[in-house]
Amino acid sequence: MGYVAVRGGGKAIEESLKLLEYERVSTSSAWGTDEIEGTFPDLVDQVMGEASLYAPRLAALALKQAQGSPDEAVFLLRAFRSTLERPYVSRSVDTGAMRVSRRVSAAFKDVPGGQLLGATRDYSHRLLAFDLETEGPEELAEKRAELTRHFDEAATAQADDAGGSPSGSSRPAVLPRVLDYLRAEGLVNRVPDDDAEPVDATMVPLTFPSSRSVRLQTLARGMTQAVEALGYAAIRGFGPAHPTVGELRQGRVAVAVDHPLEPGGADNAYYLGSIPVTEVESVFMSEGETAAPGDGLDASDADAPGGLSLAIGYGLVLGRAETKAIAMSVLDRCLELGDKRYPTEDEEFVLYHVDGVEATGFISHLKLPHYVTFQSKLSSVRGTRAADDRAADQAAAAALEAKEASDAAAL
Amino acid sequence: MKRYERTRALVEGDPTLARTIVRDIEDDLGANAVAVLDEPREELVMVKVRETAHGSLFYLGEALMTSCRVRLGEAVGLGMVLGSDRCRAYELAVVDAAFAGAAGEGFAARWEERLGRELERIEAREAEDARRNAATKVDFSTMKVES
Repeated sequence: MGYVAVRGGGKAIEESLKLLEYERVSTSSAWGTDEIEGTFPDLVDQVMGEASLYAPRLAALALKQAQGSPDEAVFLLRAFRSTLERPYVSRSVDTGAMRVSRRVSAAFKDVPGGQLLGATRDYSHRLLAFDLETEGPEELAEKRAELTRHFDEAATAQADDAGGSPSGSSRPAVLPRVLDYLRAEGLVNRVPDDDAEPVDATMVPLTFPSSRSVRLQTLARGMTQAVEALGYAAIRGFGPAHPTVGELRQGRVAVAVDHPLEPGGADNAYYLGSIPVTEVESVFMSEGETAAPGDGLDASDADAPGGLSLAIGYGLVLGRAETKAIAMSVLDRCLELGDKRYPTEDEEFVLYHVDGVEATGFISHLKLPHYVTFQSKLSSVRGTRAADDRAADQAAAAALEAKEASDAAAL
Repeated sequence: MKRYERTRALVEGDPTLARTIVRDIEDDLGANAVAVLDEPREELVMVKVRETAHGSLFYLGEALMTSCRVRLGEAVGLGMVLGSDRCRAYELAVVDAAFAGAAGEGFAARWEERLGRELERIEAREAEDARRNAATKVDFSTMKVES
């Protein structure tokens, strides 16, 4: 049987795409992007995070086109992003000014501003809510009205407790950082601002050792489940010890851009809007020197002489993806340590493999025609087999001759 | 009112406010006074963030935005807004040019109070969100240790 390189398949591909579209229009409802955005906000966040592009409506559209496949939606969004110009870089976002909607700490019970659960399913029963199956617009409106009443009453009760008006009883949406308490004590160093311009991982090839900015950007846009899996592996023994989540905060941060020509500070910048983010500061025990506040030393430097200290792992992701943000903070610490005996501390292993488009693209290409390369493999195996067969025949003939000789000698 | 607060009022506030100010500008200076230098178009802005572990900067990701550039007399105005909103980008650019130009102080004085009220409305809306979240604040009680 001979093998030849082939061409063709164009017609089959066209029909395949039509069949895909036929399946989509035959099985799905006429959902718009609003419905997708409203019904699957976490999925939309995941797609935006991995695509590294904040555009909720387009992420919903990508999900619709991809028929719910996050991998495909991320691919579509990254492809779209590559068609646009990027003339602006925002002013540095200070996450300390985040308008916080959720903030918890596993390190301290009593934190300034309190622990704020926000909207979370952490403490929910994981039972299927069968009533959602038949939930219609009227029922939705009723539930919305009921919950609005509930929170209005809660606000009034808080105001009464505080002895003032409802507006006077609201807590500030901007909260101090939990770990500032440890920084004030010198257990975690206050780090001076490093204004070195970051490297953009989308504009330069990944090389090693990579800069901190490339590591953080690559992790932030990493495939959610890959980042979580590697973070989990690091905690299970393939990396540093168990971290403590010093603070996890979710909320919105403002995006502002300086005037391209006019000098001017923050007051003269353009406010473009806000984006939702999740930020995590994880605390790790570290063998190193504990420095006094403000001395500029890095307490997280494991090579520094001295006793135990605390080091911070940092995670920040687009949207409400808190497990990914925690895992990112673990991997950030792992990559800072950089002990290549552990795969999670080997930046080449981590950074090359967390990117969704890279990973799914490479794995997917395996199903595409490899006729010529496979023919080469087959030839090698056949050639080896033929050589083996010849050797076996020669060995059998030699054995037969030897047996005949020994039989003759016996006679 | 500085540009940051003005643009925050126009981006986060009532979408009709920017349109109303643009109409006021056109009434004053004429509908043909505005020359569009760059038509509204979708672009990207890279979001730069300062992380807290080492105090360094990194790029979190990009955000879709719409920008527009106009000329009004001698002044050039820039309008920028997250998302895909060509009308708002145009309106922001016109307001930016008008408030920066020769008649800028007059426009600013005329709209100062209305913009201030819009900022108050935004603050009230955010306070409402904060009050809902405040209901989820944990009230810890420490269990007594039985002897």
